[in-house]
Amino acid sequence: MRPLPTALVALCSVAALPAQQTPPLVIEVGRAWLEPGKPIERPRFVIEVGRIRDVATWKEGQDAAGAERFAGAVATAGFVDLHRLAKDQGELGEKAESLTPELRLDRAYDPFDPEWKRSLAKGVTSFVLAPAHDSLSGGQAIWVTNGLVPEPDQAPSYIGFSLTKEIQGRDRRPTSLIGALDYLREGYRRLRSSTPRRLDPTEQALASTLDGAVKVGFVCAQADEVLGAMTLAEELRLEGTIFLGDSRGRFVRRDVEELLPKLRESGLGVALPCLSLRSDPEDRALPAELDRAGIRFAFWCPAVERGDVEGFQWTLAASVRRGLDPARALAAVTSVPASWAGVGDVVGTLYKGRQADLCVWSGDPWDLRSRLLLVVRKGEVVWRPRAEEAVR
Amino acid sequence: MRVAFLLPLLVLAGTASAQETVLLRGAKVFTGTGAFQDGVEVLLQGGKIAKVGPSITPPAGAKVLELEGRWLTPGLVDPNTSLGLDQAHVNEESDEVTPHIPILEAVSPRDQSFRRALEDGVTTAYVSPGGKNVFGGLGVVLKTQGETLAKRVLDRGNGMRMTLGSMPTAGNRTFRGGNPDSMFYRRPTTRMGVIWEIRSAFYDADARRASGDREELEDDPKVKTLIAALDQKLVVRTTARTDQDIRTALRLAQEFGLKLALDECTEAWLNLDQLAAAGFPVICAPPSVETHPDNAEPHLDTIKLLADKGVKVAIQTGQGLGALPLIREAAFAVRRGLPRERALEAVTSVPADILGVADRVGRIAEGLDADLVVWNLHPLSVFSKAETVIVDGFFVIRPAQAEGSPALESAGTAPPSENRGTRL
Repeated sequence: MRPLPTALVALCSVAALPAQQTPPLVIEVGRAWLEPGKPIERPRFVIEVGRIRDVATWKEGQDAAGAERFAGAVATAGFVDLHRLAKDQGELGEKAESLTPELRLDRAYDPFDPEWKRSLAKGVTSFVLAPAHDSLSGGQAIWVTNGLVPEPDQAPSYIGFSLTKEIQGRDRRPTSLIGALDYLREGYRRLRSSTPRRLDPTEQALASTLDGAVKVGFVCAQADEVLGAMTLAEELRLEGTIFLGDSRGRFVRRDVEELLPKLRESGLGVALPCLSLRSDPEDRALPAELDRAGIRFAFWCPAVERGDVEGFQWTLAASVRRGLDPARALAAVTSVPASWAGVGDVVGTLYKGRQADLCVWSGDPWDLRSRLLLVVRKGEVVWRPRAEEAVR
Repeated sequence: MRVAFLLPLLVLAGTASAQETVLLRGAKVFTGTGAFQDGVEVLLQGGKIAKVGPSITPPAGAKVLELEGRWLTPGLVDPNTSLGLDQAHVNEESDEVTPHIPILEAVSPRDQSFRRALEDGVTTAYVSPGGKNVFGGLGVVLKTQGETLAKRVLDRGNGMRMTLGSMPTAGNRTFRGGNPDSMFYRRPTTRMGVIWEIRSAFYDADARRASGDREELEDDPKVKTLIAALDQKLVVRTTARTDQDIRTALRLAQEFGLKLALDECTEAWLNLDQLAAAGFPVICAPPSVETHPDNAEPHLDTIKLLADKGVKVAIQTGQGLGALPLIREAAFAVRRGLPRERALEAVTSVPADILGVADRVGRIAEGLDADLVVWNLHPLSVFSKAETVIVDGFFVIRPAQAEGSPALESAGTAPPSENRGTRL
């Protein structure tokens, strides 16, 4: 019998060794919002293998081994952006055809894009890759942890239907809102065909929205588009969200205010574009108006906001200042978008067992004086302020 | 902002009082036909006209509006507009034949254009699909003001728009940006091509109708709509401006047995006898407008000449033609000899008849919607102003406080700012 090659023996012995244990990440803060409206004082988060293994409380003088303590700080769940358009719109919108609900957005997603890192520095730990607004149906929006590769067969969060003017003006159908609605109706009508046959991928994608298995996301910027979306949702019994704003987040606020009672009746959620320093002062009161009208809403971050100093924190601050309940504001960037993206039991809250996406702030996140001190994404510290920022 | 948001709520809260029973008396009344009459009183109840006649005893609790020296007409009906649309001609341009697409879904219910029309006394309007397609779609008849869009709509699929002439050829070409695969590489590119498209669409629909597969037809709204037109269940709103287009329209109507309502008909003065013989109503282009699409030559007397021949004429402000307010267009026609009564009928009862909504609007008669306008002078005077506009019993426009109208104030309804509110 020939002796085993030395290299193979060495390899086997390495494999037989016990895996090196990574010590759990322990973070202690002054206060945390387990979910919006549910604060907990002095929590200790024990994070292991990307998940929150345990949530306990700590006391002064009792130091856990290796714990990092932010005594006066506030922890929230990592922000979830419900509608993240890729920087390169051309990459994520099929130009030749406008009704492409079968395309999966994660197939064109580059986890190494520096843009994702910039949003991590603003506390966005996961987002939904949204189809471009210039296609009637750009494809299936997929939830991803910021900068990580999603599961290849992950279910889509929603299928996007853009009704804004951005879909028009090309050498393809549709060229108008009425044409867009007609195109969608025609697509759904084809499903009713009496002769049994195998559905093509486009039809399969549309059919998946009918039984509510997959939600839809209508993108609208003015009253007729919102009305069209509500009519269609009612006709076809679709469930989902109305995303207000074109790709730059512009929409006719007055139109939307008129539609509040109808929006509430429709049962569709509303996603508002982030507020910015440039947004109309009147826009800043809209979140509070929606809340008073009993409409569930979330925020999304339009292209124009990217890389700017504002972002979700500024949006929270501005909307809270105009009368929105802070817990509702926080929910609109954490638990609500997470549940609408179909990952409410994964992210958006800080309960035991959830994916460890959390942000540590020097104060409440809706206070503009608060700074971000730490961002944890799937159990890994991915961002800390630079030394000079921490001093400031 | 907060105040602006609360405004609709205030209006909704005031709904019950706004539709209270009101007796209008003392005005000269035009009921939709004939001349202005003295001594006619109108009782409004629950958003409807409850009674019209002399010396009505107001029921207990009714408010009385003394309108001495005022002129009362039905709310005006504009039979062709692009109110609430982003542009004058809205079409789905990826196809020339889109007869089934409803324009209603492109209407912004709170567009400022509705408010402007309302201030000119227009309470009901027909919003038409654009003329960039051979078959543009289905129009909608709706009120210019109302609680909700659903309540405003009188008929959501009224009239199938068909356009003759050169407008549907615009944008179609043999090559676009050097790309022969462009969807605009298609017929029609000529006036003859337009007619070919129309005939071919109707022939196809006729063949499908003959084949009789009902279930398959249910899934094809395009053909279903064309068949409804062939069966005369749907009026074909045909835009024909030039002499030859008008004659073509009449020929097509005869060939396919269509029920037409002719729009614009700028050169109708060249086809008076044919139009009178055909018996189709004509919704005339605004007489004040001098330049028309298709280089059609207008004649200031057209409306009078058509009326003299016994043609049913209505006046429209049209789509992007730059017309004056509807009542001024009617006054223009009067200046060229149209009797005043005919001119007022052409903007009230006749368009209501043509649109098939005469059971709701266009006249002051019992059972119809309480849509009325109180004018400070004879409405056809250049100085006339719609002082008070009532839609469904709601006082949506009322005289400014400064001008003073003690009679109206005594009616005790909500102040004007509340009723100006934005309701949908």
